Amino acid sequence: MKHKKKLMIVVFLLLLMVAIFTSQAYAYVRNGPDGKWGASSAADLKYWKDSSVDSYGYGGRVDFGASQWNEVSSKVKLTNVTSGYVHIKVFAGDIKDTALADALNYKTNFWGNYIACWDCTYELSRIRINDPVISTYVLDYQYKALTHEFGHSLGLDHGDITPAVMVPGWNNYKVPQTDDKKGIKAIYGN
Amino acid sequence: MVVINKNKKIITGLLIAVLLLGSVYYYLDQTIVNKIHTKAELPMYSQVEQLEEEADVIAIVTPTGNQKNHMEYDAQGLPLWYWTESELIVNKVFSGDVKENESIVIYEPYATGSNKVIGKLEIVPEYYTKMNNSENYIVFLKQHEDGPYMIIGRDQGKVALQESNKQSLGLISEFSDLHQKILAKYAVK
Repeated sequence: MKHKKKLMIVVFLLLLMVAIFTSQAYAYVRNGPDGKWGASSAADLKYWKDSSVDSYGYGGRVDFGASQWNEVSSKVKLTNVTSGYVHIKVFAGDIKDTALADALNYKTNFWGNYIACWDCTYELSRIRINDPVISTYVLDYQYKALTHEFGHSLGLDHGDITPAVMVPGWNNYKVPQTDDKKGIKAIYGN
Repeated sequence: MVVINKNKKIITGLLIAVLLLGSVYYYLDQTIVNKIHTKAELPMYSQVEQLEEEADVIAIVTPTGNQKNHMEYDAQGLPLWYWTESELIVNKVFSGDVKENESIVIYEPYATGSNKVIGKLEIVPEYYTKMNNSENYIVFLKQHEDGPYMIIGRDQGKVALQESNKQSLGLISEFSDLHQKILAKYAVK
């Protein structure tokens, strides 16, 4: 009887170890810094387009890039607003560089000033569209660039597992792929 | 008489304290630099030919140190449009409409601005390493419509020829394969 009990404990411990090992082996490993939006912000992220975005004609591509992340997690929702409190600001212009677009996130410090950071709880994000360069690429790459930048706004870093929209360069994917979705779920939940 | 001496001491003490605090603030304001990287969507190149196809100029250049910092802020006072105009001397031309010993200007995608309260903010995008003055680089340049050039693909289109700049030389860079191919093709010419 005693032996049976011991055996059961050993089997239970072994099963527990196997469960822990496999869960770690298949756990998503996040690239880069571990910043993110607070839960209440992530569930209701408001993005705003500067007048430059529509004047350069990128309004539709920005809406496309933002909306792609709404399908990934029930904890993340992005909505376009034209006034009021804004989490993500989008501008279009001339970066004077060969990138298509870029992103930078911020938190506020003790004095209420915005401080740029990636490994913090975000309170503001800014996306810039580089018109002279992005306009020279195929439309699908332009859509991809905007999806990619909103991915940065949400806290995703560049990926190295393909296929993924967070891998830089044109790779025929303009919407979040499995690795991108795993990243968002790892940060914010399902 | 005793009261006057006491007041004198207090005023002198206050002045010294203000001077000390001012000096400390000035020192920290000049020395603290908050560096931040922007994240971007950038075309990726694996072959030298891809860079060559896009380049208006391929040359060996040397930064002179003459630079102009440009920083524009948005309505919230946050950096929005920024770059550095850097002067380069062309040492050797592989292709393009520039001459040896000519001075050209490039837009570098980094700049320095105010960090609010204290110190400076330096924005350097990822995949870009600042160039060292007086060192030689092979660069693949695309001309901006304003006249100055831009380095194609940031660090992808820029390889340092000096051992001192290991990162840009490609020894620890993620673009090391591409840089080795560039060095093999151009550094020996």
